[in-house]
Amino acid sequence: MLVRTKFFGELEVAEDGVFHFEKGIPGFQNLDKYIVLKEDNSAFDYLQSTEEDEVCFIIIDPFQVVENYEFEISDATVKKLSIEKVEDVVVYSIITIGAEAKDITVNLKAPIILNMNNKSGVQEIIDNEEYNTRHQLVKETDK
Amino acid sequence: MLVLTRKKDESIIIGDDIEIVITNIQEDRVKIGIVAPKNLKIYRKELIEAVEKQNISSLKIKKPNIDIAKKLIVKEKEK
Repeated sequence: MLVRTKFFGELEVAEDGVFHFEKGIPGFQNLDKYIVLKEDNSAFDYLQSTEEDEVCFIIIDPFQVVENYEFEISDATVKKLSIEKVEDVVVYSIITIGAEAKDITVNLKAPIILNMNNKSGVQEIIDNEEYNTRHQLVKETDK
Repeated sequence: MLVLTRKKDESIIIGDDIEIVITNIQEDRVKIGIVAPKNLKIYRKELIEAVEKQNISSLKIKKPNIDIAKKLIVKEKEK
């Protein structure tokens, strides 16, 4: 199927590559189909809505860039996504890039959970007060 | 929206499986106990609103900044 993307023009994608987010994503509850676009040699991947080309989240594997990040997937999510084994789960976090490129924050509070087995997904909000929606990725001292 | 008045220690039952209990009342805040099946998520509303706001905000992006950002992340990873 042809998908209009925000950053990569029109792409042909396999139907079985589409992830179904039952209740969409907070702020975009009406959009429930997304594909993951991977870029070679890039720290970023992209969660692209197949229904609205402007809605494309820049995502990253949080475990690669944040030390000691860990959380438990809620029972609600395990049930909602019918998760059977942990190996089927892929976690991404949404990145926000501010007016200046060095203002990169990652949303550790609300990771995107994907079940690769049945291609379902959800944005989980985790209970841990230690994590917030805007975790600085590039340290102050480097600026 | 259904609005009910409850006193301290009084409860509300929703459906077959949910109970809301007023456990404490102070002048400016109420403590609410919730009994619900584990598969139901319960959140303070402002948390969901914060996530919504951040998601919307994350779409505002200047394409050139993405390329600069990628390089900065690589540098950060190398540390």
